[in-house]
Amino acid sequence: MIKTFLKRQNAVLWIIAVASIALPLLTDNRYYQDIIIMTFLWTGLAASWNLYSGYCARLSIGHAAFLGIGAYAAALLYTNYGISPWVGMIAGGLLAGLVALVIGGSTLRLKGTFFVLATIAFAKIAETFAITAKWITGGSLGVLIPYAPGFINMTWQSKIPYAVLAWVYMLAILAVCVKVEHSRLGYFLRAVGEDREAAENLGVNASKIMLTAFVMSAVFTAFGGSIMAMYVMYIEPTSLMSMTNSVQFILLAIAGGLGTAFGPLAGAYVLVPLTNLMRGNFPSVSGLHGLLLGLILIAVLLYRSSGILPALKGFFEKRRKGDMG
Amino acid sequence: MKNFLSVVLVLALMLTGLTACSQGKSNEGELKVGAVYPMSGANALLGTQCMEAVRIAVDMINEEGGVQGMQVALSEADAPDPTSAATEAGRLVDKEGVKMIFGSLASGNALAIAQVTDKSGVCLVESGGIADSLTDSGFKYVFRILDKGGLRGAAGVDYIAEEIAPALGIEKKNLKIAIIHEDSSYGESVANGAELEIEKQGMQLVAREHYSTTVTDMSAMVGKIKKAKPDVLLTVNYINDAILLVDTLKQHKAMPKVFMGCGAGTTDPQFATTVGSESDGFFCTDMPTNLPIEAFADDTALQKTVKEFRARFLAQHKDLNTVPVAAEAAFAGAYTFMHDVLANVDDLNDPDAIRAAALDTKLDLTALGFGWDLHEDGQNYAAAANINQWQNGKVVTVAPEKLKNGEAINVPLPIASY
Amino acid sequence: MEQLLQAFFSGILSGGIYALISVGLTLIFGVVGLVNFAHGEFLMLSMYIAYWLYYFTQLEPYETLLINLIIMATVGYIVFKVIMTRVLDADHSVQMLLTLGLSMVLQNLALMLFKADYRNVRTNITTDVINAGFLNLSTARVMAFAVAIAASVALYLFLQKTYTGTAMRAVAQHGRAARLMGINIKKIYGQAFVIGTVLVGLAGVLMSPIYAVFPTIGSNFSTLAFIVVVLGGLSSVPGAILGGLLIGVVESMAGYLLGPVYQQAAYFLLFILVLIFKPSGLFGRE
Repeated sequence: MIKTFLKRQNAVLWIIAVASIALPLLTDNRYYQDIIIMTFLWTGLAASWNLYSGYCARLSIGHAAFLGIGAYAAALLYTNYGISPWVGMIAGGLLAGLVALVIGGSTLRLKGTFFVLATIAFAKIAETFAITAKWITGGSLGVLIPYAPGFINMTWQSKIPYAVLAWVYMLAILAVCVKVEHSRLGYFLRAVGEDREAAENLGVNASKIMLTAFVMSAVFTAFGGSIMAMYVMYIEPTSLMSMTNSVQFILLAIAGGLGTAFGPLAGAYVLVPLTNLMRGNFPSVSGLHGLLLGLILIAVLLYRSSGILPALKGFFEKRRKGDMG
Repeated sequence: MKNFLSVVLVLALMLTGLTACSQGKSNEGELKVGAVYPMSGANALLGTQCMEAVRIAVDMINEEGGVQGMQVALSEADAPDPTSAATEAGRLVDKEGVKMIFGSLASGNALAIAQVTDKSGVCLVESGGIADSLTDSGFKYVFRILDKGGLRGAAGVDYIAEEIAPALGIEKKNLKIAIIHEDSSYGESVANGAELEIEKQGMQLVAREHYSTTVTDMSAMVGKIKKAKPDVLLTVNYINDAILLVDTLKQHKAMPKVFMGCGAGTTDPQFATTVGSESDGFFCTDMPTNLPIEAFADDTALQKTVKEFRARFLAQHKDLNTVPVAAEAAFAGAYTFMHDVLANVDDLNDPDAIRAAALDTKLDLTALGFGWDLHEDGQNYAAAANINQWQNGKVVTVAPEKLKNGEAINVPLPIASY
Repeated sequence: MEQLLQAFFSGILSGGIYALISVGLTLIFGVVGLVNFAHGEFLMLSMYIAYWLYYFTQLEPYETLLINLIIMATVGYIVFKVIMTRVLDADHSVQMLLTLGLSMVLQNLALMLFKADYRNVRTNITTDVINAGFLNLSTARVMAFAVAIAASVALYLFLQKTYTGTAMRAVAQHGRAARLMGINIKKIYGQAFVIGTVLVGLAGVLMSPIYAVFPTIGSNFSTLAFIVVVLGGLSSVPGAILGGLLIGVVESMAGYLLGPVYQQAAYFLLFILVLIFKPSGLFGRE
């Protein structure tokens, strides 16, 4: 009974996700198209984050670094060497995967809180690198991407192709997430998230599982970063790799429901338009949308069941750790 | 069930968003302009002041009868970072239908906005971001009314070479300069310009350090400076770090003979109020700012305008006694553009006509103290940095010759440590 | 060499402040098991209180210390009662995210109420210097260092010598066992949270003559405090003190030897290395 419901729920969400491509076509207003593109993009990004942090309950507050790696790879290769951003996107993904392998591999044994802090430190180091390594990144002046429309340059005059690209990106990530959710990897991830020792006792290779998911998550995030860079056409390190951006991943995924393939969709579809409209409509009340996001986060956590997709339930079950010795 | 409810909610939200599209078309007889400044986030302080200045400019233009008889309607946008700057610029252009945008304080925001506006044929009138790339990247509808970062750094260095070196009795080639700058695009571009000019002038660059504005302790950096023993310290800071820097230099007895600030922090009124009487003799290279009202004596209408703006701005800020330079620049950019450029445009809906007018307009004096002479790249080449100095808590202009209203004092600084 | 020593001692002085901020966090983390990302925002709050008291009464922050700490204690109590009690049994991630949300709320409230202005408390002590040989040490920083170390030691003694302190340690070591021994855990949690908040309030008072206060100042310090806590071995007060001093020195030396921009990166790197090779913290038990 519940299963069929879940199946149907997924079907509805699939329909919504697929049908959303109609949205940017329904309006010829570029501002709304922009919000829709950002919504698609952030859905994909939050889903990428969710793939690791959501399923195995290990929060990363450093995903902005992977976003930055993808963005810089595409932007720099294109701007400095004329290499197509499509290639740059792949390169960025590979680089992010490699970095994730090192970071993920060395932090595997860390318990929850420590892992979180390690990811914050990692993002900070990545940001410092981007600012200081001027000969590679251009430092804090950032990278201004030249405007030369064409498919090969991932640059268009109209916003529609960007919307299609972001939509494809979102669908691809969601598809992977759904696939993972119903695969051995997904079951094992959740098992590791619930109780790592128990899972290991049952013969699950926790390290391998976690690493796989972490690398996947990083690679997908970097892809999104490349698209974002080519869309905004300007990147600079401090805002791109900021804690604010890292928190954005979490906010969207949490609001929607952690560890479900479609949670990020729900979160991003509500919060991205909402924050943009807040900012757009009340520009002179500075801090208003930040305040609102904070309140939403608190509300969702305190009254979990009324989360947008009430999937937190049973996920963060009452497990209190006694490891504070 | 909740899921379905939320799904319905999402759809409803998006639909209301879409139906709202049709609104925001401009009324006849109204000119829509926009302004994008960071009003939240790290640059919120200056950004908010700039927005207030633009509001005053629009009010004053409207009271004077508007632009070509049309009242000006201002749409505001808050952009704490480049990505949101791009989105918000898109909103102003595509939803509000503005014809031009005033902005944007932070160079990063300016670049992101330019990527949006230029494609849509909307003008960006920039009076805050000074990164060189903004006018060096081939944007067609970007007009920068203030100097470029590189030029500002160079202006400071030139003054050091021509005036300070002789005053210190040190030969130019023996003069040691150290650079400290904050590491955003603003500090970086000014420092790059300064470094090039130091080389060109054949002076000695003994140290170059940069830091993030979130820095909480500068003693290590000041230690390095102390070791390098520069005669002149050239700095680019925002306000909080500028104060911290001066405090730390004093505490570590590392105050060089000359302190040459280049903009923002060291020109901020708060700098002198906080540092106190010891600020006498600190230089600050910046856009001309807080010129004495007599500097506008040749143009009584302009003089009145400047007076009016200052009065209105200070009425909103009882705690300040002078208008911060960023706000004055924001006002000057918006006011001059609406008052002097747009008056000569045949068709306000045609960006090329606006561009032509912006380039054709030549002024000897604007509210900023320099002229208006835009070249093909959109840069105002009449803009130049002034060399200012704090004297008795007031900014006194000591160069260039035609704007100066005082002589440099305290070279070397009485509080110099060596 | 002189400059190197100067950098070292400057680092020690900053380290004292970091230690005081972190000691409060350690207590909350160790006893309540709560990862408080809003710790930095409490610091901001206390600095704003110091500023406004100074603004209206022209009294130095040191003179209004008591008022400030009482307000901070009240704030700590309310936050604990209204929000924290609900998630005491929840997973660390939930607690962490909740405090993250709280920090966003406090930060943006401050922005809305106080605007983004940098507000300085400038008293005579701000630019005063103590000269010891070739060393130049800022009086305000020396003062902050001394009080910070004294307060940290006092906390240590409190935990060791008093009944409540012993109960706190018992709860930190084994919550369930402590409950069985008849300790009112919730009360202990509340006390630890309030004491932690008061300690960070004290840090705010000591820092207000040194730093300007603005809405986002807390975020500059909260991750730093976490790193100190982890380096110090979590619930160990002496560990937090040593960790704070270490971070101060690393930051200062990296700034002097490599350049200011590497200051933060240096201790983040150190932190990651420690996590990888000695996850129990530099000064923690294995």
